[in-house]
Amino acid sequence: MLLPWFVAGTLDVADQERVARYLSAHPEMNAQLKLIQDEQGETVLANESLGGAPAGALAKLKDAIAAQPRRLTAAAVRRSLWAELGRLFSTPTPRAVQWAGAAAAVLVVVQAAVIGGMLIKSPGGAPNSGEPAIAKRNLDAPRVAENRAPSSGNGAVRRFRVASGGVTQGTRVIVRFTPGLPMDKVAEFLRTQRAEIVAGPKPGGFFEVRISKDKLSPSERESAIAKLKSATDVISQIVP
Amino acid sequence: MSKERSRAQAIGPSDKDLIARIAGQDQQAIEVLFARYQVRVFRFIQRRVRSEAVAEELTNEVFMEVWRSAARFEGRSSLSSWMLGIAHNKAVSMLRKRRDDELEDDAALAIEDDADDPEVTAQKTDKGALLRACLDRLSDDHKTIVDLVYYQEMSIAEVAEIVGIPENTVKTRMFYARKKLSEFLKEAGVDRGWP
Repeated sequence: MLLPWFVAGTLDVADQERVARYLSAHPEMNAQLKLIQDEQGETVLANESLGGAPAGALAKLKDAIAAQPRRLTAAAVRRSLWAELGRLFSTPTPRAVQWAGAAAAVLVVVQAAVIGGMLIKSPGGAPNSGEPAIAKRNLDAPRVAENRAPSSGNGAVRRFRVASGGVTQGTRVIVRFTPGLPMDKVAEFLRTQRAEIVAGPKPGGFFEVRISKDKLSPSERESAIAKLKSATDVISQIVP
Repeated sequence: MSKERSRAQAIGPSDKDLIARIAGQDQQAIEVLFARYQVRVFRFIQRRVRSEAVAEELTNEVFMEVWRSAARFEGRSSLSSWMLGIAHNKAVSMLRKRRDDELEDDAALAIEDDADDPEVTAQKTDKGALLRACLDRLSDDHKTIVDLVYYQEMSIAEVAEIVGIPENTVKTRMFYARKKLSEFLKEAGVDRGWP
């Protein structure tokens, strides 16, 4: 029953060898082999007598795709936002400048309120103790920051523990993960590489990844980057 | 076929790269994929639906499905077998809408039972043409298996995935397809001595 696949060359190595041995031991099967070769030859001819999709099929496909509503992938939203910002700064219209000014003013007010709130509340102590609340934080403890993952499917925000003050810079690279990759796969990959995200997402969907806690030599760095580059199912782009 | 397939994939981005880019809505990537696979998909469909217009329509539907579902492709199977699986389902749906009689009439015309017909005479002298005509008479299930194994060069596991049947069923279905082929050839006067 495996002869058709043997003739087509699509058996795995073990089965291919097993069938070859069987045929050697049973030369009467060569007649059967010949029948199958004829069947394959005529099947190929029958298919190749057909053309492909007629001219214009690709144009129809492109039209159909253009008619589709754009999917709101994280990458598409980021590209759209950055494209809008780029247009705002390259060709600002009076109305756009007005809106930008208003947005900046709102941002300043919100920021002031947040900072003011932080200053008023001091952890565990009376307000206005004369000591800035910031100084009481343990700068060596890793901060948990909210970063948007490459693709968390439902758009949920995942938290990454990032490197913070008190830890050496180490060796870092800028990477972009494969669009659509589940966050779990990214986390697992980074764990196996003993790497960690330290910042991001940056413009363009890039993340800063620390690949070593130590400062690597140029050759060690190159080797580490090559290893990351080989994981083409996870890393789509890497900037040394 | 193998040389064509490996040549097409040696030039340009890998299938894995393409599907990742398509998941990110890269239209150029879907165009590259179309150029790479449209012939195989089209022929696979046309051999079954027997209409160039319908095959073109369904081929486009296959690539639209790839465009919409690229993010869900997990890479457990090859991209070609995934696409042929989509093509198989579309062909099956189309065939179910048609009348069975219409198909059987077309198949019966492939070999007429009239020894005076010059076309039949030519087929009988050209065993290759006769074999092709008998291949065309096979049922959709049998023809699908034969095309996938001999032309599309799919492994047993890939055929099982494309058609949605167990691997053992793939092997037995191929056996019975070949047996049926021999019966058709015998009816047409060619005894292959098997089964």
